[in-house]
Amino acid sequence: MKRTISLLFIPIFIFSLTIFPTNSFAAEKILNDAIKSLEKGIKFFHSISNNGGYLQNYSPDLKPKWGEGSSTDVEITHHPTGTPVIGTAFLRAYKITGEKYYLFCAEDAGDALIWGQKKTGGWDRKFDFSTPYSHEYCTFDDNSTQGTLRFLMALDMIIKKKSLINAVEKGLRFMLESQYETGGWPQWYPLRGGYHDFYTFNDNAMNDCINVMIDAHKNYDKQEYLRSIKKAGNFLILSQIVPPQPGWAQQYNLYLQPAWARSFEPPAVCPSATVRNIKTLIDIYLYTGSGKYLEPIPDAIRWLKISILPNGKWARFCELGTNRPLYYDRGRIPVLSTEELGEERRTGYGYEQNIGLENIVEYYNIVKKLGRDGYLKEKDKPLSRNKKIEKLKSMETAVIDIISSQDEMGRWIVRNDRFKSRVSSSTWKRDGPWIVADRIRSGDFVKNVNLLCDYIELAKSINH
Amino acid sequence: MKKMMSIVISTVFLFYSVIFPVNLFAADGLANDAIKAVKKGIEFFHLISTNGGYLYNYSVDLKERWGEGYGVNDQASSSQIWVQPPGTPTVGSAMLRVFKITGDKSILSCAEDAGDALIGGQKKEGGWYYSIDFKDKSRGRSCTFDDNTTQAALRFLIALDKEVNKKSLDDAVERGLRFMMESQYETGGWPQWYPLIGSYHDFYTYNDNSINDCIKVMIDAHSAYGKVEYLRSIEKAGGFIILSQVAPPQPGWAQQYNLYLQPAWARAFEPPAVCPSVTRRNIFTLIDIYLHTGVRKYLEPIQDAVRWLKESKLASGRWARFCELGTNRPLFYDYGRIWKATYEELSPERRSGYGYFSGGILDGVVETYNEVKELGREKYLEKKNRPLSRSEILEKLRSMESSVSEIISAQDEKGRWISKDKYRTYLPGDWRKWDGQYKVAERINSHVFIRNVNVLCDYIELTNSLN
Repeated sequence: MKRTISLLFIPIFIFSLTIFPTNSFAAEKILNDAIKSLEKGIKFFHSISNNGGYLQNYSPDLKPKWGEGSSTDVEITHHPTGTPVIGTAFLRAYKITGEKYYLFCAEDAGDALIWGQKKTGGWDRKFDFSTPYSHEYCTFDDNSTQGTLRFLMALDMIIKKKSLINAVEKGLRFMLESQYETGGWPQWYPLRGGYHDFYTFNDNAMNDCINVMIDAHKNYDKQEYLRSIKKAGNFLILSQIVPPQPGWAQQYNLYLQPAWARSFEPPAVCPSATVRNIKTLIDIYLYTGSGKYLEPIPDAIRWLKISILPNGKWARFCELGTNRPLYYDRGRIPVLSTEELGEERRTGYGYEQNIGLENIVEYYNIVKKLGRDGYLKEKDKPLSRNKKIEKLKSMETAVIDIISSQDEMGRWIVRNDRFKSRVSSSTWKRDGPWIVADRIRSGDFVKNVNLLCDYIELAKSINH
Repeated sequence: MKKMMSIVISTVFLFYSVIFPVNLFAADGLANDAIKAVKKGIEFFHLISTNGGYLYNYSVDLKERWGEGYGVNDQASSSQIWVQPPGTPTVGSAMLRVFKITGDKSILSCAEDAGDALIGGQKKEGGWYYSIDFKDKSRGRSCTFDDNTTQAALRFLIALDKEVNKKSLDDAVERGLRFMMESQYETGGWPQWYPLIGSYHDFYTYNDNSINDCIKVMIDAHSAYGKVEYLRSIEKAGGFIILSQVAPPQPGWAQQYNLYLQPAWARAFEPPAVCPSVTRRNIFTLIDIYLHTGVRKYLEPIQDAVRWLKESKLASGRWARFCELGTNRPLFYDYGRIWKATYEELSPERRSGYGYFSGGILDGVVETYNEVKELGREKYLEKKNRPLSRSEILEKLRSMESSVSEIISAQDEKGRWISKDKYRTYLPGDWRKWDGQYKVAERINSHVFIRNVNVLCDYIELTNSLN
């Protein structure tokens, strides 16, 4: 009898799984908790802002702060994990929840960035409210100017105000002005000499510039932005190294030769820059519809495939001519392997990397197969209800993790974070000094907010 | 005795054949036939001209006509002529040559007609597009140096200008030469198209002899008009050839260079690489420049280039079109920049439609270079321009007899040379997709006309020089 009952239960259980693939009661609770966690997290973060802007790291007592290096109370940073991305995360939270407060936080970040905009139109890596007019150099390194401008444009799509419109316009004028006639961008502008004037793919600098121009043309539809995108695409075509090494270098001098940047960054062919350029070329193709931007790709992929190291990674630098991995320590000191590098470099720079080759090959193949229109249609097709439910379920653990790791003040604290004491690089010796301390990291905040937003967005789209 | 007799006879015969190697009477007769054939040929060809200009191929009933290409969709319209050789300039040049030999004014007027057609199709910038459409002169977005287009037109007009004096011709030549100077980069090289239209068309291009033909134009111009700016243009161009030689161990030249003087991609199967065939042509152009200017520095790059050519010969006795930079390995790219390890792996369309190998790269190179170098400019030119001796002429005439007779008898009563052409049949849609099939049909060809007229002219000229 007992057995019969249990047998009866099984089909019912299976049936209920099919209809309610997630325990809808539990899911509802996670969603509510996620919404609350988001609110708590944003409220805390906004409370520690400086005139609306942010740094990269804070100690829990908010006394020591760090941008890229230790920082003062009057600074904010435009670094990839600084103010622009935090602002973008706020904006996203607003778009998903409709919560006006989040928009206010985003606007605050926007105002801080507008304040920090150089007269020339771009941004430095950081901004010091106590000495706002120290210099007028702007950088494309680490997505500083680009990330800022893309955030301000996104904000401009939602808020209409004069100061924002002016800042965006000034920024885009700066983008056009700083673009070389060949289509490339320097690393800094106005030009300040050395490798900073060079065409720079390192850290995605030009690729991010192109992303700015694509956003700009989408938002404001000016011909000159489209021309800028095409010119930049032509520069990518032009700067591909010749066979047998048809990849790209991290930076080129103004004679379009691979060139030295910092003293551990030699002229060489770079698999990671190559993968990013393939992606950018596909993006430009998808945006402009011009097939010529795809032409350099098959040969670049061929080169990437044959350049894999025995350990399954790729060298950051492949020597021109021989394709052998190059390892330079500070001071342009060549060594034969990563083991021979000083600890400072070995732990501070990716000499060997995973480059995500399979993903980029897959992206290229599908775009090539479907063509532009086919691909865009496929990409914008909404997921089926079942797929959404499946995806939502796959996110649950991570979301619960985020919620439970948040403290009652709304902080996500990394315990025993180990990081380099920011003394100048020349005095940072082989073994330190390292610091171990609890920290609040802006990067984690952004990551967590985005994951919560993903979850909330998806859950809401199922209920609708 | 019998044996003795035969020796005597053969000696007499030998003696006779040395003194009178051809039957002079017969030679005169053949030359007369050649003159008749040439005139008849030109008469017919002029009859099928469009406003004085020409295409590549005509069906025998003249209902179908083509410039470049063979497909149904490639047919030329009734108002179209071709500039790119073997189109109007080369047909016109053949006519001009016949006039110079025969003095027949009616033939000069045929050449003049061809000149007028080209003048009519000259772009306002001063150069030419591949073709001219008299109903739609806006056709062609820019002027091209590809396939000897602008250069051939201009060289023909310069040659015509020496025989005919008229304002429209003077103006066209002047405008054309101004265009040549304007389109030349400060470095001395020329782009493939001008005004600039972007991408590899802006690049310094040796492919298909492009810059080399530009230099020929300037040499003709300087020889004809003596202006110092034309000489400067030649020297600048020579300087560019010296500058663009690839560094050892591959001291040859690439097909095209970007504006940073780096070997660069052109079409999607033309990689940046060192090119033996380009190198051969550049060596000859350097010799031409030396012979025109007398400046020895233009010879300097040659010896090392010859060394590289010798080293780069493949086991098959031929040369790859593209030698990879660094490794010197042959490169094979299919459409879409798809790399192939071997020639055999290329698509049939590319294999039959593009020369991935070439032979005879060194033919005449070392001999010419050594001779020029040893003799020096004056002595070399003197030797080259020395009139042939009577016996040399006679020998040459005799060697030509059979081909001349053949050409004459191949001409029909209307003055046509009809040939059986074999060409690829393309599938509808993408012309790159070729199914490997050929078609054969009867055609009247400009290139056959030009070739035959020139052979006949050679023969007539030689005969004349004998009298």
